[in-house]
Amino acid sequence: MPVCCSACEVKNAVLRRPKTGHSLCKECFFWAFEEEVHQTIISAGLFRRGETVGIGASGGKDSTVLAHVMKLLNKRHDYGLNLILLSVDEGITGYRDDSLETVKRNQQQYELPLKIVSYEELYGWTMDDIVKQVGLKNNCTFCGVFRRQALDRGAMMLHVDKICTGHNADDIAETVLMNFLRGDIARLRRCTFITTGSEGAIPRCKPLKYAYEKEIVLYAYFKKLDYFSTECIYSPNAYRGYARAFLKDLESIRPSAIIDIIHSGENLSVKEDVKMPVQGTCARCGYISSQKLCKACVLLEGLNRGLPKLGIGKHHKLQHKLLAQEPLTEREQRKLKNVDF
Amino acid sequence: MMAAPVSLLLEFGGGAELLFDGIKKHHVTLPIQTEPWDVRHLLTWIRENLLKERPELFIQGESVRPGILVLINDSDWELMGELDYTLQNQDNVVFISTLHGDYVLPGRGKWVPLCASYTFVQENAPQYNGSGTAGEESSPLAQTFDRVLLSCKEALFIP
Repeated sequence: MPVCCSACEVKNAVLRRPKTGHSLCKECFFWAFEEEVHQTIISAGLFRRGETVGIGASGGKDSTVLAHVMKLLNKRHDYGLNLILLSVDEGITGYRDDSLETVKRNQQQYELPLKIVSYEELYGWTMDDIVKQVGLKNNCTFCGVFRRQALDRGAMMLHVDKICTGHNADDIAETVLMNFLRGDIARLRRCTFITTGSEGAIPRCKPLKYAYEKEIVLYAYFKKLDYFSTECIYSPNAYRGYARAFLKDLESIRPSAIIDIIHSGENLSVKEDVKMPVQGTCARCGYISSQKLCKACVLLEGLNRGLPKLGIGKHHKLQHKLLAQEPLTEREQRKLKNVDF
Repeated sequence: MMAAPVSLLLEFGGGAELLFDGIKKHHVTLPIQTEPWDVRHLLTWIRENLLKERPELFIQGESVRPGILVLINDSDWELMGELDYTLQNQDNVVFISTLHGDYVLPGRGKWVPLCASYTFVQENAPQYNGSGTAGEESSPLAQTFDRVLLSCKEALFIP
């Protein structure tokens, strides 16, 4: 009954790899998984010796596996990197405080320094406060925009050269699908890049870009890694969940579907005459932005003015008013005030 | 010949435990039946006897929902014959969910840090809000998303 490992042909296999169809034993799987991440890092030239690299750590499975593998590869292949764990505290009671406990344990297990930046210290608002104001309809917008900046700002405080995040192959394939379905050409082109934001911002990279979620979960399971597996309490049935379920359906009949979608995304070329937003910097905080004010500043201004819908959807018409600190007309205010639950 | 009763250790993780009252480990004994117990029968039994809520988040058709990993005695069930594997006494079956955001159950003790506002919004929460990440208003695209998925599924012959 037991299937033999197709690599060492000695031990019993414990899993079938979705990418290759090979059946591997635990040790051969660990080796293959780690060395594939190494190959990704080497072939894309993600890091240079002596660099300080911040690992975006949420306490979830992906970032826990990333931290573990980065620590291991840094030693095994002598990358000469200085690794730091970087966490964002969104201020979500019962979710983030628990997962941060996991990160703190990881810090000790992997003996890596840890920096936590909180929404409260950066923006003066926790996610709990934001949800009280904006309800559950658009809260993911706030959280997503704020988190992106928070990680960058934490990285700047620590003088980090690069940030790496735990995005896996499933995440990337899902994002390709989402951007395709939304017609978001600029993001569709960017989303498969392994490194982004090298101009101005701190470069971000995704060493697990080609690692299947199944393998990440099983790697964590077989290695008995300590991770936190509860979902954010504020995102029930988000749009993304549907793309995810669709992707999983595809994977179940053809496991290569995930890597195939990434391949398609990587090889798309956008016609030259397609208009792309020009990247500039925010006039208020200096963060990269395609508008005069970056999304985070507009959202924050909305929260502080008691107009939570400011920054949700189109807002470029109001940009000059916000920059000049001018009051909005009553009509504009009314539109931005109402929150529908 | 009657099959002997089968005792199993079932484990649920990765969020799937929330569909089972938040309990991760279940020691169960399957009743005696004429046919041997296979995983297909086990899933039916779980659905009828253990699942507390929203079975569609755990079961799809006669199998588990795609995105839920199954390990039998610490081996990938894909190596063991999946639904056709014949369960042995003292087997350990682990279900790990890799799906996101689906297991938020209204009114659960663990999930109500913001009590009043949270409970209220949960009960009236729309099916999806079209504002997952990028921050656009709920667009016509978001509304047709389901239909697109459906036609994709049909085109690709996914049941």
